[in-house]
Amino acid sequence: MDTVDRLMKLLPEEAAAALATRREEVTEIRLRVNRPTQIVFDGTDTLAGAPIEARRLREITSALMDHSFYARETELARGFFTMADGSRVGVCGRFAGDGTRLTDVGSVCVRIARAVPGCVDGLMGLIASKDGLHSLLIVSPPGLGKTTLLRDAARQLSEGGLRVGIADERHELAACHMGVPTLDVGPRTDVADGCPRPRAIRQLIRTMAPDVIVADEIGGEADAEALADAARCGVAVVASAHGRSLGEAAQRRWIREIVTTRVLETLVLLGERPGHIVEIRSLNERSAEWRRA
Amino acid sequence: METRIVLALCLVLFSALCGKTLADGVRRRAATLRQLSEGVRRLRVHMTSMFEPVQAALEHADDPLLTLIAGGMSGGVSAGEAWRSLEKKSTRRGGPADSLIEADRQILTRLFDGLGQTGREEQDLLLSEVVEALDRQQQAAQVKAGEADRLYLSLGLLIGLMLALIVI
Repeated sequence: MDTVDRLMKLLPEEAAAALATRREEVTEIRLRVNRPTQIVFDGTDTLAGAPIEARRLREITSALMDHSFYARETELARGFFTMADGSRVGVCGRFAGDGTRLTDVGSVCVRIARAVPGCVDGLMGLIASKDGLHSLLIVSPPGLGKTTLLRDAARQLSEGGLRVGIADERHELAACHMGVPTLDVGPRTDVADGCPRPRAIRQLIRTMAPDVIVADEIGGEADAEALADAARCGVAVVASAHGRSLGEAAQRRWIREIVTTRVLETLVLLGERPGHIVEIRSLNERSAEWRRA
Repeated sequence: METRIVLALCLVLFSALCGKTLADGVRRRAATLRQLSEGVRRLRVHMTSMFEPVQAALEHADDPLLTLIAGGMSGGVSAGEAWRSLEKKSTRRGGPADSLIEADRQILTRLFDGLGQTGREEQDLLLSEVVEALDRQQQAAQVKAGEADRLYLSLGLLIGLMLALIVI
């Protein structure tokens, strides 16, 4: 049973019916205390069903966690947990202690994970070409399909005969269950699941000798250093990061670092709608300019 | 006369067996509690060390009652809800908790209501408290079983002998 099916059983009747009519198009389902359910499709949304009481929202959240709060505690401290099918459940509300202990659930945002085979076709030529493998960073605002593109890239590279290592800190790329991917990430893919990204990248390089490392939502110096290590070992990197424009991305120190150290060769910007490529920038010509800046 | 003697012997045997059956019922409670306590110990490992979700941990705890509750959680309900809907079935004759008394069931209600609802440390505490409570109940049941063994067997024999005398 996938996340949408589970939610249809848990939501108020009217909201479940609205969800059922367009279940293939749903990208997000947002639940808030004393508010109707917000169902988000590609670019549109609808409010449906009776307002959800605080107690009911707590029950729904508990059911989504398989009534196993203790098993999700570490994830919840970061504000989200991942379902078995890779869908991500963001949780917001009242936090106690040092801000890592959620005591009351106020809102829940379920982002539905979907495999879209072939969605990365337009970028595959930039990653694997006759002259070898090339590193690439996909930049986009949240919800535009970075993870879906990375998953498909991993699958295609793996099916093409390459060893792929996925650093899946948030369990979203491969949606592993007990260490085994539940989503199709290819036959030659190894997944470091739930491990902090920098450690996962280094472990994969040491233990699995991948041709390509795939990492989602990288950010910060530690990730940049691990990716630079991968590049030094001759491993290509396909990664994603949050950002509204390539210019904005270039302002970040850690991105500048991996550009100037030639870890990355191409930046891709997504925008407007999920999976839509707005801009592709080769860094061969830009990196010299950035290094000067 | 011979028929009467045979009948009297049969009555003695039958009464003694009835007494033994009653004593076995009490002994079975102690055995069930011991098995349950071991199951909860395994559940604790699967939950707090291996971080398995409640349903999987219950299945892997290898205890008939815990397995039954795991099955009851299939519809996405909590362990507490599953216990409430299966309590009658499990305590019915032949069920995995049929020998348990009200005080034992209260411990189980506390266990299942709290299962999975809090963080790791609280779960660890809950499970260790439940194990302690079950062990206490089991020790008491063990003592009772010893007493009941002697009492019911003697009573059975006495009633049998009385009936035998009447028959003869």
